[in-house]
Amino acid sequence: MSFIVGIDVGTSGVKTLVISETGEIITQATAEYPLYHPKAGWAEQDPEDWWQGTLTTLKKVAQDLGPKAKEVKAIGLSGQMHGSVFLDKAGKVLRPAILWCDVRTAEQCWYITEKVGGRERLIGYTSNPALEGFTAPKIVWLQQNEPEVYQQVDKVLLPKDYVRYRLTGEIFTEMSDAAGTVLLDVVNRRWSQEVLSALNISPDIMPEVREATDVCGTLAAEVAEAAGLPAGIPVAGGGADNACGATGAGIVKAGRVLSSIGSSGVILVHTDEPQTDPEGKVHTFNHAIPNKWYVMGVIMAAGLSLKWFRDNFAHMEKQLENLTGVDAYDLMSKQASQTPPGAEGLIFLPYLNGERTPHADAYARGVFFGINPRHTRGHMIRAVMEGVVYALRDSVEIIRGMGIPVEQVRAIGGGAKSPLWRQMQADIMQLEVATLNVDEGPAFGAALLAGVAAGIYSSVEEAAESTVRITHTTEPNKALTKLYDDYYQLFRSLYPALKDRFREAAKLEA
Amino acid sequence: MERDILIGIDIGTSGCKTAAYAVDGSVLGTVTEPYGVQRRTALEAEQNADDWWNAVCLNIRRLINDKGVDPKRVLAIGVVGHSWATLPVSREGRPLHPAMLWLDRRALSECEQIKEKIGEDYVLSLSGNRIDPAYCVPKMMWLQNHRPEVYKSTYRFLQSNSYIVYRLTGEFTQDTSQGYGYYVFDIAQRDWSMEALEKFQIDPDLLPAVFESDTVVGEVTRQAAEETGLVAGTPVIAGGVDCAAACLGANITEHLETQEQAGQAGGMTICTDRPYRDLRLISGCHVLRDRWHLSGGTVSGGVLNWIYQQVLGAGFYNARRLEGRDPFQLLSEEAAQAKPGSGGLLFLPYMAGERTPIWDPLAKGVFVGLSYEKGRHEIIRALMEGAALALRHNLEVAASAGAKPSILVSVGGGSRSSVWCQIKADVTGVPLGVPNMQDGTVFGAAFLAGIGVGAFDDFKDALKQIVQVEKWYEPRSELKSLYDDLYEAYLMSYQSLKPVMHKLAKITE
Repeated sequence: MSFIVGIDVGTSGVKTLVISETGEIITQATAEYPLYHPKAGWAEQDPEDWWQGTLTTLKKVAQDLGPKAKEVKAIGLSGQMHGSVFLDKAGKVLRPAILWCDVRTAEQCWYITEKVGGRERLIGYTSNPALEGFTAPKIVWLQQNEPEVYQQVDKVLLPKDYVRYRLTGEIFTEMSDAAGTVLLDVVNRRWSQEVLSALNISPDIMPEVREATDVCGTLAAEVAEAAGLPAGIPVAGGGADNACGATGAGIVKAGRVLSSIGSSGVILVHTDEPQTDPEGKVHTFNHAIPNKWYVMGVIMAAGLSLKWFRDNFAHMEKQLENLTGVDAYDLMSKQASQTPPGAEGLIFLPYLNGERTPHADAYARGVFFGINPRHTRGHMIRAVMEGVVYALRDSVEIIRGMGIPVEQVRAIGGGAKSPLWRQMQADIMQLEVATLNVDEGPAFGAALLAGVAAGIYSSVEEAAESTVRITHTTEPNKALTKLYDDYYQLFRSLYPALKDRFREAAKLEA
Repeated sequence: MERDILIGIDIGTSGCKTAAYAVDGSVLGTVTEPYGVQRRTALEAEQNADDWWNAVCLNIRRLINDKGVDPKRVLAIGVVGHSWATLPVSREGRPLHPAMLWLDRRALSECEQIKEKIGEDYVLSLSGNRIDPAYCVPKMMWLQNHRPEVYKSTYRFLQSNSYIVYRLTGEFTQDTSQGYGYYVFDIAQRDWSMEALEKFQIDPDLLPAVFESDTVVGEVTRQAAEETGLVAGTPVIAGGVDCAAACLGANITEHLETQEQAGQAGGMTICTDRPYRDLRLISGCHVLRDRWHLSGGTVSGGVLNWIYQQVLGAGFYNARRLEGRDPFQLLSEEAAQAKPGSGGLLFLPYMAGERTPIWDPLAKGVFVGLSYEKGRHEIIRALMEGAALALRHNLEVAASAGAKPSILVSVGGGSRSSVWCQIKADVTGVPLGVPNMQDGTVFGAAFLAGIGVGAFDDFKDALKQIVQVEKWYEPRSELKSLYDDLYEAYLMSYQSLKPVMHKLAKITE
């Protein structure tokens, strides 16, 4: 029997799991670490925390495996995208890593776009516009604001690649994570010399880009000993959290769409060819499958919208949860299900902290629209859940508009556990919604990639097809197509109507 | 035996309130009898006039039997009621059709005909009001078009108070304060306009003779005495419209003093010394002879009820905290924890559509600006601020028509919330007072009857003795610019969302 380790270096913590070659989860462990906000809009982490967290979880899973730990054949890595780790020549971390959710770089985004020759040009080179969260703006920020640090930079690493450096002593990145830097020529799969030179970034500081399934070093002896795992086992390239999450959900073929309702929401579709939205509303990144791509839209407040409503209005449900053990969200779902689809004209815009896809607008705010005296808390809960799905449908529509086939939705995340939310996804997107036997997030996909690197599977596709199965499907209710189309059109017309109002309201927030 | 009791009767939309007062204003008893509104279609809203009368009879008997009111000591009776009710009756005073209420919107095409043939300018300059299905003339035309047999056999058209006056006295009357419901009523002359009657081709005989509201128009008949327990011969005045009576009952009698209604339906009534006209507001004669009023009616008052009953749910506040306490007090405490302006969260309170000044039955409620930092406290405060912004909108329109309010006197359930009162003062920039008299409408009806029979040497002096402001809320100047900005956002947001609201109405129809 072979076992494979998958590690996901997330924002709130690291998750490490061990799978058998049939995809069974043998054991898993998590370790949390802090997120620092030294200034408003800043978000940083100490890479040492990632490393210590990783080591802790590796020790834990090795302990659980006992004698079977000797049969671990490979390690795969996944992690939060876009974060920047700056290393000096000695491999020492120069400053805290600047994360994906850090928004200090608004000016740098303008600067980059201008230097490269405009938004269209930039999208032409890298398939994506410069967004505050991405890596290039962070590098430029360092150039401009901490030049003495920038001078010492020998390499820029992404979070999971830094962890690999500590596991193996080797410095590499791979396509799917490199794609999130806006420095990679996503179509031709190499660093964009045009963008690097326009921004005066030396190509030497960028790590060599390999494939997700390439062996990128082996487990160093001293780490192996500390963790209790075999020395010398291959560590794969791995992939960005979204790429690994998609791989782990079997999004390895055209037509399959990932719909993830976690804290945020993601719509992600596999493509065989690189396809770019000329408006840059959805992202085009390299997949964790060699020579494949994916297109992705992200909404900022998916599950967080419902959590916000729960925390403010569902005290009764929380009390009942304490008394009965029935989850407050289940009780809320029950109330929502007692109101009709469309919530009798109540529509929610889930822009509680701005929005990424499709508006890319930090000023956007949440809206309850169409309130009438009949509306109850149940209507409001339904409206929040439907609003999240309307916002996800925005991404689906853009993707459809690009001519990409969209056939089956695979639902993951906390939202996939709610039958009502699954039905809403089926009805509002008018697509079949499948749930899967595994929903372990990116760490599972990372393990599959490592399995390919170690020769356990012949390809990523084979790895996914032999481990990921559909356990349940939810069919769209055709009788609701018209109703939801009408409400979706209304939903779509609300943001343009209010865009300027959001900007004016920003000054009232102070 | 000395006659020193005044009875007030208020024919409301949800029920009839009846109260007896001593001449010095002390309450002897207040009773209420509910009745319903019949809605056979979404556009229709009717009441049976006999339901009004039965409620009046029941209430007066309760005052006599349960509250110890001696009918022999009753000095006079005043009846007021909701406006725009259209009730055709036979020569014997028998209702020929249910009363079509202010909520009834079936006469839409009749309104179009009036706009086309007569024009809104003419209607506004004569009657002080806009063309809308709520008013009486479009409803009369609807009857003529759709119930010709009813219209043909109609002897007189009556309204809410005048029907009860008829049942009490046998007299067909029309008071000046309800005249504004008719487009053939000249509010400056306080009488029917023969010219307009001709233009509208309405037989003048269909409309009763006009009396000032405090005029004694008859006495309780023997039959009415039998039905109610009153004494035959008791004087009855013409009475008037509820909002004007409510002003009187809140001691709003001087030019530009304004009453603010913080009930389920909100609104404001500005007392003026001459008629003012604006297409976006409601204009009419006061129940006082030398006064008029300019009014706004909103539906925003019910927003706190909505969040308390429909969203938070009765179990939200645990029973121990709630015990013996007004739930609105708890809501006010929550609102007090949010900053003025609710952190930029805006609420448009048009949950049931809106009347003045936007006249948009398809408008809906909206929260704009939700975020993680804003929660329940901000949402509840935004509801209160939204209702206050609707009030300000009405007041600003009135000011643009020349009637800028000097003070606000707040009545109704909402006036119990000091937080809400302060918000209204801050948002409108007008000092707001809360009087000791809370049943202002029915008290106003009774007091008006007292004026009619000459019970007071100087009625204004007498009123001042009875009704006083207990607490004043002054606008805080440091919040002016914040609320000016919020008001601007309020107006703009409605303009931005109006087309979407109208699209929504098409979907949900």
